[in-house]
Amino acid sequence: MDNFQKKQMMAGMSELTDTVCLWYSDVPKRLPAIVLLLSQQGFPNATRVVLNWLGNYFEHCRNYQTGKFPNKQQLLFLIDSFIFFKTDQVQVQLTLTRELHLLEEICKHFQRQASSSSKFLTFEALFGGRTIPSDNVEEHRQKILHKTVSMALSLQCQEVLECAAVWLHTQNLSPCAMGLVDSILMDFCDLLPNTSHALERLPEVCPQFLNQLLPCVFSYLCVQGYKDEEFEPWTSIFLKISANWLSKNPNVCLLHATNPFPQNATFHKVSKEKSVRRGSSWSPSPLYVMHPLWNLKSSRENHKEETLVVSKLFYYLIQAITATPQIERDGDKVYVIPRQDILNVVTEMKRKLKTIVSSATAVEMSLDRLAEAVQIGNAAKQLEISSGEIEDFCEGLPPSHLLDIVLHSRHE
Amino acid sequence: MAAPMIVGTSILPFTNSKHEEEIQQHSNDAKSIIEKAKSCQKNDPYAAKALLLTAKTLYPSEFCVQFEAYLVEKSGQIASESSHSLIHLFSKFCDEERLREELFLVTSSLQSEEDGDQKFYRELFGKIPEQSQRQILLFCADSTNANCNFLLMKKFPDFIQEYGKALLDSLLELDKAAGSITPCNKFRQLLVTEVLPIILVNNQLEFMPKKLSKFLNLTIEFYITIAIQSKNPKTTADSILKSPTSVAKSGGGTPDVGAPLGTDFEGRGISDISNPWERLHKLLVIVAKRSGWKLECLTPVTMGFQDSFTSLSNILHSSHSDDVTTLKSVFYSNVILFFRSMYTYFNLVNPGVFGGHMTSAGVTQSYDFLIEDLETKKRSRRHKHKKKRIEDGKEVVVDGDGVEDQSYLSPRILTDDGKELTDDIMKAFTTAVNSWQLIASRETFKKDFTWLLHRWRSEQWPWLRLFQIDMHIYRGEHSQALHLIQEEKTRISELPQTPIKLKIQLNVQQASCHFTCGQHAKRVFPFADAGDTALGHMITLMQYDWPKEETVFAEILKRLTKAGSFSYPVFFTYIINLDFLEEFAYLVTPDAGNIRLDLFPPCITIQRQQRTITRGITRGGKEDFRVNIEKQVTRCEEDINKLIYKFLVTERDSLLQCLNAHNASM
Repeated sequence: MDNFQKKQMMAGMSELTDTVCLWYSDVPKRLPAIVLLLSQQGFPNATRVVLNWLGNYFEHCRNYQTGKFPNKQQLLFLIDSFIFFKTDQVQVQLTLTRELHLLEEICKHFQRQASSSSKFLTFEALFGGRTIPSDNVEEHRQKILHKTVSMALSLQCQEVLECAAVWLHTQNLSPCAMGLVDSILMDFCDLLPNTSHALERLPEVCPQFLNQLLPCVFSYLCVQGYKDEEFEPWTSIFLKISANWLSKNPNVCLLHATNPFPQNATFHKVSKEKSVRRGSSWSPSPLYVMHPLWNLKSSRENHKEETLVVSKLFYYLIQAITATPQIERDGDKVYVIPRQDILNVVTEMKRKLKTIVSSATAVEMSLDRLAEAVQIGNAAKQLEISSGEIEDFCEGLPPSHLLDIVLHSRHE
Repeated sequence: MAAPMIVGTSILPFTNSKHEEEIQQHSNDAKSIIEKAKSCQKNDPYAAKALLLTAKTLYPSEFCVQFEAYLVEKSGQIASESSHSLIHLFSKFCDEERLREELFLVTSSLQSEEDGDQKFYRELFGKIPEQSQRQILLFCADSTNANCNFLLMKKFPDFIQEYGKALLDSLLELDKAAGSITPCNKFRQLLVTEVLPIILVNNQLEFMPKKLSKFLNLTIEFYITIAIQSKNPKTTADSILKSPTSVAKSGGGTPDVGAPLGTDFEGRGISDISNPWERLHKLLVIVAKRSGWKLECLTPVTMGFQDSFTSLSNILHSSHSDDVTTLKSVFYSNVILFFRSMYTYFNLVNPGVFGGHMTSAGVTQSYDFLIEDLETKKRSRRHKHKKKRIEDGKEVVVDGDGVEDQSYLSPRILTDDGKELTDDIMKAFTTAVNSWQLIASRETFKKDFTWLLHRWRSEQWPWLRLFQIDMHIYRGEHSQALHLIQEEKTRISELPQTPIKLKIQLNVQQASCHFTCGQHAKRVFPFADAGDTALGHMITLMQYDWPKEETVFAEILKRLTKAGSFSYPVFFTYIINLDFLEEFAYLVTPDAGNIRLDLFPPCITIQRQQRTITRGITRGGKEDFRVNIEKQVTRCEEDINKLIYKFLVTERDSLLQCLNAHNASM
């Protein structure tokens, strides 16, 4: 390419940038020229250009009505073509080197971007939307997401992790979210357990991501079911890391409750139908630690180490609840233990106790934790449930002296 | 699920009993949770903590529950968690006695450097927010806790102006109460080592000169005692430092506040108070500044003894008699110099005088020494090199150049093996003597010093008397020395455990004084209860300056005649005096009463069993005796000094045995 051609291309690129960012109505017509110019750029320049366009695009979208994204289809086309390398519904397989290069470009892009809202929207535009990997293309996209997050964890790339936290929140425990959790656990606790130290620094690097990740992981662990006698080896590793997280910063488990993400418009529409968790609106419940299935399993005699770690997690959770100040949002009291969370735990406990034969110690421990959560939540005025309701809900549970005391105390 | 225990509608007459049942139930429930937490603390500590947290929120007004929870947390040794609980307890239950005790433990640990519980308490306090720290210290200070008062000011100096004087008064009161037992009580230590250095440098507080002098006097007394006790690690009942009364008190359940410090108020051991003389000097400087005294008179600890004394002496002589600021400075500097040099002197020659070491010989290395009487030399030097002049009606000794002789001649201090001791000892000793002399040279100094010694109850400082004995001997004031020796011997005879080595030292000093006074043999062994060996040794020694002790010898002969026998196997080794030989030759004659004499060494005695000189004496035995007496006559020209020297060296053990026997009989 001679100098003249180069100059022409640069001029064309500049014009295109303006075109894309301002979203003139003739963009669909000019798309072939844009694609041609980007194709001439090749990897990684084309990818970098598209990522920059995305940033600029979402910056300019602030001038539009909230939730309005002009030329959305063209944008998705450019994303698929120059970031995920899909052509005519066919996924081009990247070499490992090129894939690594791509991940680096993505991470660098988020590190460069200043605006939080356009950062979140860019991330969501790249990885959001689909809940179930329906085809190879989607699978590839998810794979890039998992690897990007793993790389961000390794490099302690806060910007990417913040976006991933918002993404996890919008996913509402979807199979995609579970897929990301599975990938993280595999990478850091199973395949390369020696790299788990990268996770250990997470509370300092990005507490928001940790806050979203923890309930997802515990839900994931529960989804694995009660059927296995033993825990997977990586479970212990993750539990220990989690316990250390909470011991250093117990408030991290209440972060979303006390300081939720702002309600931003999403680029994709999020489907909630396939969530692994029941309930319509999802937020990370701090009570995930005391999921009955989890408690019963960890209370087994042969899981002594896990029992201790879960005790530790639970203790730091209730300690965090105790220390949480009263919060009001939009004039309404905010409870870190919503009514539904307690009801879910009690309901699940009743169901599991009927179907699973458990030792008296395991049952006692589960009921003690329920009593403790109720008492601590109530004393800290962070429990959104009436005294009558809680007692009604507890009808049918096995006898528990501590729960009796707690419920009795509530009546005084 | 068991039905919750809901209080039903009660019938009025039974309300009280129902209420009591509820309280009982309440208490049982609380106990059961705490017990459950305790039971699982070992196997699942976090489950225990969760239970405790629950119990604390269930029974927020129950001190027992809250405090038990704190204790369980404390046993887990996690300072941050325990600190939260302690703050909570403090905010709600500060009137509870158990909490007060706990807070006292926490605040007391702050000045300690010990590990273990103390370290944990320090960490715990460190985790408490500063505002709460202030409140806790203020609370403990209000509870008449002087230590907390001090900590409060140390940590938050803005409190000094408000609480400084009150703290000083409070400490003075407490010290007064505890000081009847020892000046080394924890209140005095806090006052002297921590509080005064902080408060006196705060110029916003004003003090009367008298009060400042009082602080200084207390400080000097404290550091003297500390310096001495550092040489006496086992400040126990056998310590000769203690008066019989203090021994009796400490053995009889003395209150803690006044007990001699094994460990001090801050948890430090006495030996941890390093450099007492430097600390004392620092406080002297502070007081001098506050009092407006001349600072150039305050000779630093690093300056040599003799230089310090010369400096003080020069300042004193160049100052006017009404220059109070200089005189005060010189007085206190000199008093400290006196005690410091005396301490160094004893520390070098015999640290045992400060403690119980002299009760058994050889526990510490010390020298048995004699300070040579320099009176004769002094006189002779005075004739040769010095002359007297009269100044202000006083006789002053000056050297040939007209320079006043401030010091006495350097003594020759000899150890028991005849070696001369170091220059340092002599410097320390002569400085102490000169300082004493300087005090005695001015009436005001003398009066003030006497008053200080009285305040400090110096009669309980035996080492001061021992120094005075040495000083008097050194200055040739033997009669004064003998008087003090006798007093000291009387004192030690009343101690529950006899300091044998000190007794020997006193006896030797007494002997040397008597010797110099011309009464040596008389007092070495008490005549009345001496055995044959002791009498024999006395006779041997009398040869040294015969016929000085003629009357004593006559008494001995009378006693032998009365006893009818005398055994002294080394007679022919040491007795060469013609008069003595004649008298003993006479004793075996019928005119003298045929006294039975056993004067040969044991081996010869066995060989000549048949010829033992006895009442039924054989001819051969008499002959041997005669021959040996004649032989001894030929030795009468021998050098008596060498003979006595040989006698003292060879018969050392026997002499000591006689002395010990004498001491034991005292």
